[in-house]
Amino acid sequence: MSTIPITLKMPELPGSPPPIFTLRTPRVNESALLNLAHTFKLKGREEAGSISRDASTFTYAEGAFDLTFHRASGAFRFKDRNRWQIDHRANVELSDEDAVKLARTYLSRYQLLPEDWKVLRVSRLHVATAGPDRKMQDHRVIDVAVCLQPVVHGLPVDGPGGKVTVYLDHEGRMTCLDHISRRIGPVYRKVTRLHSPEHAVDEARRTWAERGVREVDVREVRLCYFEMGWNDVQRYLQPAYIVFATLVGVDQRIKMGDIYVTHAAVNHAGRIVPLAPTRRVAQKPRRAQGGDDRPTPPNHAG
Amino acid sequence: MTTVTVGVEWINDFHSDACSQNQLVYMNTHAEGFRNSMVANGHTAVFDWGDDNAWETDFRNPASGGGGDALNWSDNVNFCYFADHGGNWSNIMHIAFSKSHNECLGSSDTWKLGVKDLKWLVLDVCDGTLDTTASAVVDVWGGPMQGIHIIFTFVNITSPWSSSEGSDFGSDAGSGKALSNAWLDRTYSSSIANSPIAIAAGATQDEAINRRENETIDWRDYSVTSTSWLAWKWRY
Repeated sequence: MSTIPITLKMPELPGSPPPIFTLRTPRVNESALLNLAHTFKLKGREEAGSISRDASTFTYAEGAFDLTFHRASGAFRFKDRNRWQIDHRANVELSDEDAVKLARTYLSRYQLLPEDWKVLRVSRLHVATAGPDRKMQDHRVIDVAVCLQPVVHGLPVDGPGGKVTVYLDHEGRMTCLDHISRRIGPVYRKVTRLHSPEHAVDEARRTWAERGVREVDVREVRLCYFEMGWNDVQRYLQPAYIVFATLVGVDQRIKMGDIYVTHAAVNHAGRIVPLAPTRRVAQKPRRAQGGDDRPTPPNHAG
Repeated sequence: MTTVTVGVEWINDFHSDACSQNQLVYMNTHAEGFRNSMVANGHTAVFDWGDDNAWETDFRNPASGGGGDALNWSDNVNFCYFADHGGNWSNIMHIAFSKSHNECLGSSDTWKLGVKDLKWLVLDVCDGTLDTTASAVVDVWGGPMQGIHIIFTFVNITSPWSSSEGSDFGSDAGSGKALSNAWLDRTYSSSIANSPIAIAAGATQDEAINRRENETIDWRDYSVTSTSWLAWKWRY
């Protein structure tokens, strides 16, 4: 692959390298779940609701509310089943600024506002229809979601995790709260030096070249602390680069977004992203069309 | 709960030939994760075709010629999940195949989705719609949706950020949660600012809205008698 032209502005490096932190092991059990329910003014007793469990979560349900706690990360979602994502035929007219103010108020009330934070994004859930005349009708916004990212040592936390999101309906009421922001412990290791963002792009370029990618448009490079997803165990919070790119196909019309994540610290600690899924064993060549090698589906009324 | 049949197709590996595209990474994980979650909820997996075993003819209706075999594959199951590259031009959705059987690109103008058993199709690809205007949605999907209830896809470019998107959506769908909301919840990311979309069909505006808002897999046998209306929902 030829060299990637870099025209975008690269992130500036902080004056002193941000350290690597230990993350506290989340205390996720039924007692912690009920305690958390009290935060949201629920009764939080087994007699008042019910607890269900699966391999990765505990959920406490009371009335219309579900509180789901993720074992691996300690992340949780508190939602109102009757209102979150539900179209009540109203339109949310909150500006971004007003939505952020409201979200901040809710998070302060529940003592969940990060000490230092920035707005990552304000998104909206839209609906629309069109009939035989092919004109858009009934276009409305049925919720607005304010996503905040904690800022640690001057760096925002990013990744599948590292965010607190508040969903608001047309009356400005909170319909759901997602909290995927792990508790930070003591410094695990001082960082001696950060790689440059160009180093991260170069690593990405090599990876893409190994995949046979011919043309790439790098859209953005972020320097952040990287946090994994809801169901990932993570021990350290460490600086990372995230490279956002568009892979362009041979005839230019087929494109795909791609994300490359790499350590920013020269003396990093362990893996920064979960192990990649195992590549599957190649399938045996398919014999023929027309259902010749198709397993027999069960009878069903479809 | 109603039991549904599931088929998945995915492509990671392309070759340096006429069908060449950039290699992908997570597509098997997305599609097979969906299948596995559905099976874990009691549903029936019927086919799983990957890389060169995924064929354009599996989506082409026989009426479009070219060996169209959709009635034995994509339209022979209730829920089909396709994970790969996509592109959208001239109001036609295209999906890329690594082997020309019988074309390198599947084209939505050769599809009649839902004429047999297909109720729900996930196109886990880029450019499912180019934007969210009526023309971008209706001009592309009004024709190919011929009995299918809902299509789940993305507006413009998306990035596979997590290997668990398919299995997460399959868990929700397979356990009876509202399908459109599950798709939007499981695939949206504030960090990448992608835009998942669900497009529901109906004979009337109310029916299309009802499907968009409330349909679960238990609605399998509540047929779409005509695609006069589309109702769509997206987060951005």
